Amino acid sequence: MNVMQRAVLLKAWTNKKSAVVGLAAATAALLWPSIPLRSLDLWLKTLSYLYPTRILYPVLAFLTGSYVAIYYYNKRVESCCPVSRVRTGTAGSLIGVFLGACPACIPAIAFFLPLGLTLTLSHLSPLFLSASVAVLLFAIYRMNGFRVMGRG
Amino acid sequence: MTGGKRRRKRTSHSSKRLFAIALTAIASIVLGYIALSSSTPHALTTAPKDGNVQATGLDVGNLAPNFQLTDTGGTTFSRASLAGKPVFIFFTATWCVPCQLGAKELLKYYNETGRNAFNVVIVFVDPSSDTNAAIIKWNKDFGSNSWFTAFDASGMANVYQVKYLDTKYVLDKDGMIAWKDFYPLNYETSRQVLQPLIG
Repeated sequence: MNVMQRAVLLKAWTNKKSAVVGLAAATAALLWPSIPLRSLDLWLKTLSYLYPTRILYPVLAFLTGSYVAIYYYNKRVESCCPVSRVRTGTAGSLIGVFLGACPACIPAIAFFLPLGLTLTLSHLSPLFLSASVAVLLFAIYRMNGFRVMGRG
Repeated sequence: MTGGKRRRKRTSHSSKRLFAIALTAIASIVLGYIALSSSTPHALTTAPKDGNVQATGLDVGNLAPNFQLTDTGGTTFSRASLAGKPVFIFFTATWCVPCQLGAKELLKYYNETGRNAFNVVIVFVDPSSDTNAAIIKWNKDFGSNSWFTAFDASGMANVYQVKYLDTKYVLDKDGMIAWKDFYPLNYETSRQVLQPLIG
């Protein structure tokens, strides 16, 4: 009996439907900054230059995908988690994805802000990213993502 | 329906609603961004006064507002002192990675045109990180020693209504605005914008 296979997070990723949904969410989160930058190649280059973003951002994208996969798994495949607790994770994802992505990749938000505030947000982006990763981990935990459950 | 059932139903609906709101927010931001990107050049501009194309302003065809900056070597330069050649003005910060990559692309075209066909003015706008030493290092890594690189001590970014890093203006040899943009720069764009001005 493989205990790891019973963790809800793994169940969600091993289920075909929820894995596809999770993968789509993770991919969207990972690649969306290429829209404001107008170039996928430039975003990937930018990401590779930025530290600690190059580590934290893919982690954030993966956690966003995991979070969505667990949500989908619970709603459509097997009821396992308290879905009323989705707010924390949604907020964490949005903050990380929109404010932590990359210092110069936030024109969608910067449009509404003065330059000084945009610069401050850019400086804080690693902080937003770290906070978002923590919030998402907490949200997945609250949705019982790490809980080992019986075969379903 | 009992109170408990109603509450449970409401909780389930509120989760769905929350998810829908989050998706709508993301979609709105992306769509809003796409919509804004087509109209932003106008949002950045000041309309020519009295239809006079010589009016000072920030619209393409306007005479660019004057500026005066002192570069890292202590040399003061202005729009007037740079007249006679096209001027590429680039607002950035030393840490802005897409801007660094854009500067490298511009440098390719700059070198290709003999390093003398147009002036490049790099204006650093972040007081917390753009020190003299950081600017000199930036220029060594991504620019050229013949570029004018200066910290924006005179509020030029305000005058030019800069809202984003990576904002760029190109002036023709008479100081008229020929092009402006805030998307990351590439070689092809540099060539397309500057070639007609260089002649």
